[in-house]
This record gives sequence, structure tokens and C-alpha cells, in this order.
Amino acid sequence: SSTRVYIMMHYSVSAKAYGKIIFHCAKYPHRAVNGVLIGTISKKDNSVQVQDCVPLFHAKLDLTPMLEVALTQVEIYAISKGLSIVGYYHAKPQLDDSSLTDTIKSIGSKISQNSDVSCVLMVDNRKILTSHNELAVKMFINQEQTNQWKEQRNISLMGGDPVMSLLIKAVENGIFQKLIDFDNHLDCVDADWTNPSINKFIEELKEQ
Amino acid sequence: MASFEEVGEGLVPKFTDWMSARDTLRDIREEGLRKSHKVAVLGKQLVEKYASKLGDEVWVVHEQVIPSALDIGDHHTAEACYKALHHKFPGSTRVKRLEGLLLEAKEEYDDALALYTDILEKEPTNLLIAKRRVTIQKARGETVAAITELIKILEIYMTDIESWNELADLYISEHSYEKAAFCLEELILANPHNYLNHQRYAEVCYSQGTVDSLNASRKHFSTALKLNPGSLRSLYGLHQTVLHLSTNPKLKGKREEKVKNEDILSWTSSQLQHKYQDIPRCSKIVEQYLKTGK
Repeated sequence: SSTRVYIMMHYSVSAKAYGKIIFHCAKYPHRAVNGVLIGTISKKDNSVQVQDCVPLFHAKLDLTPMLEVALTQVEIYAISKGLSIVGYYHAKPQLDDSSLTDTIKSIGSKISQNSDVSCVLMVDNRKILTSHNELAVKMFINQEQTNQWKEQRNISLMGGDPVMSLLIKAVENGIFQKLIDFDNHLDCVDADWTNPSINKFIEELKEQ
Repeated sequence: MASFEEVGEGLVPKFTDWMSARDTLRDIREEGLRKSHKVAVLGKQLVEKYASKLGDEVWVVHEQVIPSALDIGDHHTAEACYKALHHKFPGSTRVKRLEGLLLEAKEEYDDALALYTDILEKEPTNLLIAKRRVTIQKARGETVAAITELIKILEIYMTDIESWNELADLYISEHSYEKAAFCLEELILANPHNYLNHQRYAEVCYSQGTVDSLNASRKHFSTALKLNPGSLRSLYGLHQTVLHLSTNPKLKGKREEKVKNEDILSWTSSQLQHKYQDIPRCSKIVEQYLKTGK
């Protein structure tokens, strides 16, 4: 049998992607929330850039019909931006629980079927807004040989700690209320799940 | 560029005057909404500075502030409100329940459970307290225990809608779709005109993935749409269901089914296009979405 050496890829997460994950959690603090990560893969540098994310649901996360609709549409959107789906994020309502459930694993696996890479970011609820220099997410990678999801620490925030502080300040000023997820869109077709105004706001933050 | 404060204008609750604060809290109470940040910020000012203006309403406001303050992590205000209520109504079970909430918020679950067990011994039919036990189990991630507890509650309170809904959610999180479906059937029986019940039931049936369950899903998404033609979720649900049915190898041979499914699919497709016609960015994505799977 051939041996495949597993090379650890480095994941860097943009302010836009990380910010929207935090905003999604802040908007629905008592619920599970999830979403899709989109970005670019650089095989040459062995790295993945999580450029953006699309917040999906804050209710009925374990049911499939709307998830299928959302994944199809997010993929179409990603391709239109020259990006691909690179992972999935999930925040559980229980404060100390960031373990992977079967549903999370199967969504993660489904995403990696159509993509060369896939990671699952589980939100560490205790760290959101309390840590100014540590990402409040745990990254899990599906290793092909073992088909196990293992935690990996090879992840960083583009722009580092200053970006983190700005995002926390944004939450304190209530800006997370403007975040739109796919559930919001299903309730009101005008609600835009690509979040152009929040994206612009975060882009301008970095320029300050 | 705009400052944080400018962009966040109106998004962070601010106290302006006691009368509008009182009215806002009344509206929220009436509608049973969970607007914890707003209630905590406005309510805190009311109870601390304008208690005398509120008359008898002051106690209901104290009671309302406690879970909201706990929700946003303001334990100090919650404790103060509880102390005032406890002083005014020393023997009250209603107030004792709030003491339980304080313990739960501090994650002192064993103490909270002891308190609730105590109350239930004296008042075995206290539904609100029985439900707190379920919430603690949920908070601890003890889903199976929470399910068992809820079933016990439903054996006594067979018509409690909130419990059936909660039980359905718990079963869904455990992937026990058949059991979740049973709960939702009870909800449909109790209120057949509520489109949400049919929609949710259809989503659960869809998730089961068998031909029979997909047929049930088609039926109930259709019912939900009839009851609420504006439901985008039901429209997508019906579209997805029929898409799966029409590509299912078992049904491909049956001509009748094929024709029916094709009819429905062309209807849902045109409905979806119509919904998005005024939203150009979305309509491009939806056009492509409608082309997939065929």
C-alpha cells in the first residue's frame, strides 16, 4: 500500500470571515449558529486563505432541505467571486461544548467532497470577545488516511491582534445586529446574505 | 469614514425617558419577545431611578429584568432585582423560581436542581419549574435525560405546545427523525392551520430521505404554501423535494409520478424566478440554482 504523507496546511482567516463569525454568534447568543467558509487554496505554499464566510442558520441546523439550497447557492456565489468553499463553521449554544457531532462531521465531509480541502471551525464560546489575542475558534481537519477529524492549531488571523480589537469594538457598538444569514433571507427575500455593507465596514476598519 | 458610534446608531439600546422605557417593556412583555439587551438596559434605569413612578407595575418589571439581565451577563442588576422581590414577597414560589435562574446563570446547576426539586415536592404540578429541570439538562448537554424528563411532563400536560416543540427539537438534534415527526404530528393535530407546523414537519420528513417520507414532505410543503403563499422556505422545500423525487430511480418508471413531479417543478421554478425578479444580484444565483440537479 502506498503511504501518503499528510502535509499540514496553514489556514489564514480574513477579518471579514472571522468578523462575521463573531457577529453571527453575538446576534444569536442563545442559539447554535453555522455557516460556510469560502476562499482560495494555494497548493504551492501549502496554505488556505479563508477570504470570506456566509452565515447560514440560527435555527433547525440539523435539517437538510434548506442546507442543500444554501450550499448550492453559496457555491455558485463563491465561484462567481473566483473562490471555492473551503470549510464550515459552527457555534454550539452550550458554553463549554465545542465537540463535533455526527451532523457537523457529515456536513464537513460533504463540503470536502467538492473541494480539495475542508476544515471545520468550532467556535470556542468562552473566548469570544474575551480574548484579544487568541482566535475564538478551534480548527478541525479531516485527515484522509484516517477519516478522523483532528484538531489543528495551524490557523491565524490576517492582520493579527489589532484586527481582533477592532472587531470586538464593533460588537460592543451593536454592529453585529446588521448581519444577515440565510435564515434571515428565507424570512425576507430582500435580506442579502452576502452582507455587502458589513463587508465594506470591516474592510474600512482595517484601513484605519 | 464613519465612526463606530455612527455606524452603530440605534443598534445599542439607550434609555431616553422613563415613560417610553415603561411602554417598551410593556410591549415586550405582551408579545413575549426575547429582547434581553433592551430590557436589561431600560429596565435597570427604571427599577433603580424611577421605581416610584411605576406603581404596582414595578414588581412585574423587576421580574422581567431578571432573566434579561442574566442573559447579557449583568448578574449585579439581576441579584438586586431578586433581593427587592424577595423582600416584598418572602414566601413566593414565583420569586423562588427567579432564585433558581440566578443559580443557573452562575452555572451552579446542582444547587438550582435542589431548589427546583424542593418546590416540586410541595407543588408537583408546577409546570414552569418542571421545565427548568429540562433546561438544566440541556445546558449540561444531557440531551437523553432532557428527553426523558420532557416525556414525563407531556404525560401529564398532553396539550402543552411548548413541550411538544421542545421535544421535537431535542429529537432532531439526536437524529431521531421519526420521533420528531411524531411530536410535530401532535402539533399539526392541535393546530392544523398553522403553516409553520406543516413546514417543520415537511423538513423533518425530507431529512429522513425515504420515498415515503419525501412524499409526505411534498404534501406538507404544499399545505404550508397553501396556508401561507408567501413562505419562501416552503417554496424552496417543495422545489427540493420534487427535485429529489423526480431523480429517484425507484420512481423513474412511473409515468404518472413523473408528469406530476415535472408539473410541480416547473411551477416552483417559475414562482422562485418571480420572487427574485426585482433582486438582480440574487436572481442570477437563483437562475443557476434552478439549473442544477436537472
